[in-house]
Amino acid sequence: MRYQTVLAVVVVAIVAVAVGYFVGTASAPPPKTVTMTMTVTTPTTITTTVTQRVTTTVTIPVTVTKTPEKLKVAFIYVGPIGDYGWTHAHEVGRRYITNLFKDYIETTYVESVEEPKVYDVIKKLIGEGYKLIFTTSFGFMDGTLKAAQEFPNVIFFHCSGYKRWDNMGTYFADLYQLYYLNGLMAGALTKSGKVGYVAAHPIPEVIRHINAFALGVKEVNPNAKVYVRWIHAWYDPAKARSAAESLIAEGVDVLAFTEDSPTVIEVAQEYYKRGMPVYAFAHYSPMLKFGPDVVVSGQLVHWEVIYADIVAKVLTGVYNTTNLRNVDYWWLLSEGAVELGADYGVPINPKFIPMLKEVKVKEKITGVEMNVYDLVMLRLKQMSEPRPTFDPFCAVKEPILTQDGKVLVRPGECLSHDDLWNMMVFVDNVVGSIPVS
Amino acid sequence: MFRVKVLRRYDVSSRFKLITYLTSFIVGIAFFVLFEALLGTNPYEVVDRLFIRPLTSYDDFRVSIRYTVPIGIIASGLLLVYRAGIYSIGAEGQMAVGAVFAAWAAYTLSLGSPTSVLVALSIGMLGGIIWGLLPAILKALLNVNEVLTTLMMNFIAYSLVDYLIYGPWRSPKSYGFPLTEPIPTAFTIPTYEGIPVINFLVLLTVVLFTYVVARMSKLGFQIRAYGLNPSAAYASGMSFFKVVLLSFIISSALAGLAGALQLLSIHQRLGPKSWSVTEGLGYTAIVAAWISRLEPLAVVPASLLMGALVNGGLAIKAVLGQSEGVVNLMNGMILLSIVAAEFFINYRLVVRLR
Repeated sequence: MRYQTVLAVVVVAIVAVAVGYFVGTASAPPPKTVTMTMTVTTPTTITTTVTQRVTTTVTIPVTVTKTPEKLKVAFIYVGPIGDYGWTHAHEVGRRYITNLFKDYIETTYVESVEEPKVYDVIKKLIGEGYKLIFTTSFGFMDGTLKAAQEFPNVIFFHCSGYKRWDNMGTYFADLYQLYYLNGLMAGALTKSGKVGYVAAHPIPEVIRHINAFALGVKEVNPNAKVYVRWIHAWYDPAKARSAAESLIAEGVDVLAFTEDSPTVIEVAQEYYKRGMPVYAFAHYSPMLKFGPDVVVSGQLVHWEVIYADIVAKVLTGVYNTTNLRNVDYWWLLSEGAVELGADYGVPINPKFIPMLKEVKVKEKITGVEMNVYDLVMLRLKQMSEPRPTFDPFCAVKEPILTQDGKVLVRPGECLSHDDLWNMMVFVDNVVGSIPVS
Repeated sequence: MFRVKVLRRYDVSSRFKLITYLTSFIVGIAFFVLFEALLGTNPYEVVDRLFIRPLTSYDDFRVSIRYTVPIGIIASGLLLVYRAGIYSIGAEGQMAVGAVFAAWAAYTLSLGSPTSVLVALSIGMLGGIIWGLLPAILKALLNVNEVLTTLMMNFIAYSLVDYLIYGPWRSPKSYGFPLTEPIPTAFTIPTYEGIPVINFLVLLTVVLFTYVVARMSKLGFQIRAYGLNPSAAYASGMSFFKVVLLSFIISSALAGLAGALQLLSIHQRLGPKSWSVTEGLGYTAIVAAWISRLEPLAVVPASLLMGALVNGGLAIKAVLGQSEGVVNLMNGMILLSIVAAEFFINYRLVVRLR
């Protein structure tokens, strides 16, 4: 019996290791090498400018003596850092600030945290001495708030939510201006008058982006329509592919999307190779290389700009555990938190510049005739100014209408931050519906 | 050369079973620790974070216990169907629907505490039963493979939750995000310093209940008979229909109860993901049921262990800074070592030199 027990143990061990190894390698995310370059306009010296959008600008010069103990900063991610979108973009930001403030902070991250478990993870991090915690998914909101109320000496920043506390601020970098610029180009490039949008989930963020895109299309091409397909997933290459293909089958020849993979671009590239030009706009990450012949432009994000600002202000004491109740970053082009393009430093794929220059439109504010390339550059400049002089959700001479003909924005008026956050209707040139009761 | 023969064991003593289980479990952990050592992590710290602290430190135990309770309640129900030789993996879906029904009760009924909680829990159990009934009837009448039907029902349950949180139940105050309103306070189950004490007492009651059903009742005997030898059980006049239906009803009611308890005490709302309220614990409970060797009383230590491992997995990621893959690897190693133990309990290898 004893001999058999020993034997049993040995064989079990061998089987366990062999199978465990394969399970482990099969379940580990595939390694990805991502190379990127970027420019950031944040001061590397810790003298900080407190810029509050829309309100006033206060400059607080602070001299920092090097703290003996480094601030411990933690990031909690909803996905694996090797994804091709959301979590990876935040991880790029973390690496950037880790290097930028290397004498002052040390950082860590926890990946693939399921939303209901965020509170448990935060507690573990606090147990390890982390004093500044970023939670980077909407679903982390309630768990972060609970932790903020329980641990008043720790600073929390929650991305994409709307609940704040004395020691918990919120931040977001939104892409709607870029979708509008993409829409201008899409309107100029479509021959069929049908533009497609592969959409993730029916929430205001995505609806806002579809509308901004559609407003861009309409400005250049008043008769063109935007066809929407919901895939009900943030990451699902299979569904994104079938949605893109069904849109193309309906006659769509330009595609934009919200999904964390380059699938839609790959589909467009395949059609192009078969002699059927379908153009696409990249989403969130530099995706130009997946479709060099078809990618026109896209949306890129620079979370590091926001992270550098927050960390600088925490280090200098501008932000502390009592004054974050009204700190809500809503950073756009003018703050440098987002960038137009499908690759860093390339706002428009050079291949498409001549095509865009051929299309002439009347600029809707001044009535001056100009080509679409110049229009895109003008709007980009207007929206990048410290006080933007243009916003896609401001109606100029004609009202912005919803699908059922109601007035969404009256001439001369603009939508507020809250309107954008609650947006649950489509503008009038969108074809498709929002699946809600 | 070697000659290897696989021989069936008969009359295996429970002491031998226990020893084999514990050894294989320790071997599984040992190999994980070895793997961690190869990665350069201090082996002592791995073991400490993985299950010493989750079970012994008060602060960590408070976290473990919130996973332990639903795992234990569901595993108690699952072991009944597994004893009958029915391999249901539908607890996840039944748990989700249990939470949905309990949430419906909380949103629509106006009752005072504690009636409110009892009613919501009963309605949650009803939801679980409804979800379990379809595969149960298909199995009992047409002998449809329950592994497939219960798995499919899980996905339908997820879709149901998605429909509700994106559709009619989406809170008007959530800026359009897929969240329901928090349930009214009359329907919440209080926790003590984060410990779901009431839920834990429910777990103990459930364990006693399944002990009585499995070990002392006529139904328990019939379940066992069908699990060991369906033909003999049928020939001796036991109703297959009754055994399948009743064991399924009990297990799905308990899964629904677990979902309702999690909703009323921990989450208190649905969303933002379809699985936010179940957290996949309906699947974790399957492992716990098998670790318990389908013994009702052993469910308590088994679910404590699984709860600790869920918590320890978080520590591996958060404190030791390791990736999700490492945690999956650990779960795979432990699960497989336990499955392998099952083999060595029923068979032995005889190696001879030729």
